[in-house]
Amino acid sequence: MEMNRRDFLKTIGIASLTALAIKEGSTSSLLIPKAYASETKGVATFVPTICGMCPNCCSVVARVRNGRVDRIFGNPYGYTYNLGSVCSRGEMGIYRLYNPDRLKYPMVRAGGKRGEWNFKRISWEKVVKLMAKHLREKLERGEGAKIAAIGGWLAWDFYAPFTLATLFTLGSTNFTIVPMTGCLLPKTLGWTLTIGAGAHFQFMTDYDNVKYLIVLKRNIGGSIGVPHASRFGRNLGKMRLVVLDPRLSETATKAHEWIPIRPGTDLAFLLAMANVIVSEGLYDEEYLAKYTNAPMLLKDGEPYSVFPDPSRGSRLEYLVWDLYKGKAVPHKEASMPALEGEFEAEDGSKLTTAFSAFKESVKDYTPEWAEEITDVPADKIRKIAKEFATIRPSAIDTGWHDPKHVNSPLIWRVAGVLNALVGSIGTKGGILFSGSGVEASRNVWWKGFLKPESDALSQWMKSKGIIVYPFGWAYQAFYDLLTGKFDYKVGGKSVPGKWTLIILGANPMRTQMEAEKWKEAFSSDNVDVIVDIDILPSDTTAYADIILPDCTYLERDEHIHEIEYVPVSGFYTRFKAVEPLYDCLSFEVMAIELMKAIGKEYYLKFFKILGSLLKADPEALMKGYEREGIVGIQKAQALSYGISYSELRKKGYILVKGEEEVRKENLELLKEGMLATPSGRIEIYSFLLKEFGQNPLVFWMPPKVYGKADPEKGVFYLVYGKVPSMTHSSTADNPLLSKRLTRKNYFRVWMNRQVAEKMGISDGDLVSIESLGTGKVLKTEVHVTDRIRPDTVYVPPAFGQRSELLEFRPSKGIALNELVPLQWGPIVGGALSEEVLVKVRR
Amino acid sequence: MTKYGMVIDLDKCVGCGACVAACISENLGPEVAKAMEEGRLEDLKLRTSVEEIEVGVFPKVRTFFYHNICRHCKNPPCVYVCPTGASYKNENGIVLINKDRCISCKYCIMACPFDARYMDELTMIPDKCTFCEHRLKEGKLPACVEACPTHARVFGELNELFVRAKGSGKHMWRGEGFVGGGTSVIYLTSVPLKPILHKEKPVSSTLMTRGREIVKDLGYIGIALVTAISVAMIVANWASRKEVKE
Repeated sequence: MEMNRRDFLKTIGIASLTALAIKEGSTSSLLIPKAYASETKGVATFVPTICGMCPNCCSVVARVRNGRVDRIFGNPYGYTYNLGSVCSRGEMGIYRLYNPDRLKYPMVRAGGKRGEWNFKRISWEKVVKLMAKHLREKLERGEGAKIAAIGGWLAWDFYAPFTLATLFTLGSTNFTIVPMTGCLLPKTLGWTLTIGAGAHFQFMTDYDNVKYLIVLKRNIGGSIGVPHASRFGRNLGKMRLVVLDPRLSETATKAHEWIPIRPGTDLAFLLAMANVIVSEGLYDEEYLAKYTNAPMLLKDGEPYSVFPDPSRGSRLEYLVWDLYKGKAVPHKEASMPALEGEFEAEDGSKLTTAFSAFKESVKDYTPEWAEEITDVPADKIRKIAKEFATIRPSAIDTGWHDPKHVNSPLIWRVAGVLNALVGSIGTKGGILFSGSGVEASRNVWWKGFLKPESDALSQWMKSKGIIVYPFGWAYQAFYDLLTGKFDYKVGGKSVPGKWTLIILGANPMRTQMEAEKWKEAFSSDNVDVIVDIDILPSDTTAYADIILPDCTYLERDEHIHEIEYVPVSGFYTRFKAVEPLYDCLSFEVMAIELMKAIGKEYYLKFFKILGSLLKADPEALMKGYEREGIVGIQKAQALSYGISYSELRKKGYILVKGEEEVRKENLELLKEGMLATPSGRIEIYSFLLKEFGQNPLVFWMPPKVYGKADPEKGVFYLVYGKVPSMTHSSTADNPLLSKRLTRKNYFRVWMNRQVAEKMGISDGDLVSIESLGTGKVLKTEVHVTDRIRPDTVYVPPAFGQRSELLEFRPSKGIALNELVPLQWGPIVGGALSEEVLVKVRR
Repeated sequence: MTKYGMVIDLDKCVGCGACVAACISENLGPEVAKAMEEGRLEDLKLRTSVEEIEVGVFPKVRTFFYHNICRHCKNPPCVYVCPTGASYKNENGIVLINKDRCISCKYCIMACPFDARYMDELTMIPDKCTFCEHRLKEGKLPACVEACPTHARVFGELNELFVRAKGSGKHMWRGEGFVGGGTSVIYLTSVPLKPILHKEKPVSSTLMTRGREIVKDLGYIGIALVTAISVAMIVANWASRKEVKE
């Protein structure tokens, strides 16, 4: 139905100022304050901020009445971000703030072992002194490298510059956030191999214009990240939607075609699509010749001639065959690069192109081959491949979370290649880089993510044979590091001393795979001190020695953030809606005060690093902080960025570049060859894979569990995927989300109806589910449904909190991380969170 | 006067529950506070809810997210059975409850063919969706409509909505077979609605046949008593009773 909110507001004559603001795309500064005013009636104030319930960072407004936040809704000024909407979690953020279970003051261990709740209150002053003394002594002993940190998404999305500045000041790179190998890194790397970027916040499918969309390993609707889902949602019905998922996910319920693919075999499906598109000549020749390295000349399978191009920031240039000039020339000088053919160089070498090699590499991946693997009929694969190539603009969605299988990075590499085959990267209706993604591409962002040789995590990854070990972010390393099973060396010598571990806004006891192992690691004698910084007493908190209560997002001012995720650019931030309810501090303040207490030189060094991370004047940041706290930092940033602070204060969201401009920049990136790939172009032939000694084209790799499920014997593949209302730690103890807003089937393990009937299992029955990976046996209720493959069970992942201190934690649901063993992918160390089989018994 | 209505496009809903959450925080603050205090959040009654309906057999299976909400019927049974005139339909076609007049007899709850009314345990007065009438007065959309991330709920002038819904070529449903004259909430789907909406409370369980249950619950004396009181109140309120307008 062709209708939207805007039209109706127009027609019904209740077009309010808010509505006008929405219509105007939110930049009209005169209209909105009046809209706010109409709601105030003299008692309410409206504070713009950023939602803190999930990593999508929606721009929201908190309504404050009588000193209480009583409503949270989409910020009309931030319309270009989340279209003025929030999800159920965002609405219920109120109860993140007003949750009686919160950590209310700093505490230190009063006795007992880690894992036991035995703490006493301590003042901030004392605890900061205590920590400063500990860290100073540690640094003096030369054990600084044994300071480590594990963060959650919060630490990354919002505190990153402060977290990094803290660790760098202390001289350690031994940090990670659980969502790196636990969520986005394998996917990010896969996309990066092909298009140079691919983290959540760097790109987005152009849902507004795409005509044919294939979604795999993702549940856009069910995991409801509003910036993406609202654009996807408003165009539902206008695009043809194909969803690959072993379960009929919320997104799949909207699909024209749901393909219940065998878990972990999406790569085979995509390779077969490539096979069809290539063999039937359905690709976009002009696009490939211009914007990809498909025409690159190869000699004996190796790039014929490669040299750095100083005009493109030393990105690699190579030769192509210019049909117009009839000779090999650098790609950027060619007017008609040949996509295919055999050529003879001046020196007599026989040359061919990367595209010819690519064609060869997908030759055997026929739909019939894929049918066997994926359990999807060959005809269907062929049909979808043809539709994908002919109904344009088409795209394979960016995906989101995928550390699931050994082949995960390859899936996204091939998704990038397929999008390039139909000319969909950076173009209308395809995959767009966000404003920050464009910036990141130009600056070759990933170089900043590589860890030095002295890094413990990357050393561990190297020792495990993980191919792209310089991306030293695998949380799995901490098990061996903290238990002393891995000999961590700097400069050839083992690092002395015990570990000091800072856990920031993370709950590794529930989010890192194989809970038992982490119990062991956090209890280890090799760990001197664990500092847990969080809002609620999570399952991890009991393992701390020092507990520091963080403020919720509604109680703190924050440094100014770049707008990410969507194809616009600008700035937004958080402003304190209410004073902190308890004796808590924002981590930003904690970090600075800690540096101050360690010593003047650390304090100065911290601000110097912070300045370079925030691209602001360090001196101004420091003076600003000393004068006005975080507000002073905001002001110093605003000055450096050339934006009006008072405007930011009022609107909470300042748009610098609109969508049109960012779309234009996308095309410029392509035309100039300034992507973050080594060649700056879309890489059909991956220089990075070659660098790491791998097949630079595309290839099949089966998942570890492939072919091992056997429902007859009660053995199933395990799949998981977020449910709309319960996702991250932020929802774990939310009274309304966990007790009232989450439908009961979301607390249960899903099982195919026919299989359940055979096993004598009815809906709601209690079954035991045994992990063949960890050996753990859990009891859970079953949701019997036709919405899942017979050989697969689905486990909603956000449950299983055991902390007794969380009064509102769901009483049902199981913890995914008790079923999945601690393991790592061969490419970049992904958590392999679906590489496990489970046995279900009545 | 403008008659308001709502379209719920089930093809667009992904079941995220943002509408339910928005409704709770807009309208049910005191109820939530009480439920939290008493540890009875599971019992918290909602003005609107989303339920999953599964149709078919793997792999030919579909799922719809069915929304329950007051339909603001053209001829609302809840208003007709209300003995005191507490339930009424305002000039915008919105069915509302004047809580000062309610005697909590629950007739309206039983009369509703859609299970859209419930007893608010805080006030012991029936409660239901008001289309966020207080927000409409301020020129704002109902909270659920404003919140919906996929634009599945659309609010506006009923006739206009009706015309456009019809123009969409989708299957639409306005309570046919349940209430005469249709409802102000229009459901849309791209497939026939029957398999989805058969979950609606069958007509047989509405007031007509629920008579037996009422008799069982109250006994004949109770019925007589309630009837007598009701009649008395109807008579007493007759003069001041607002006419139910179209």
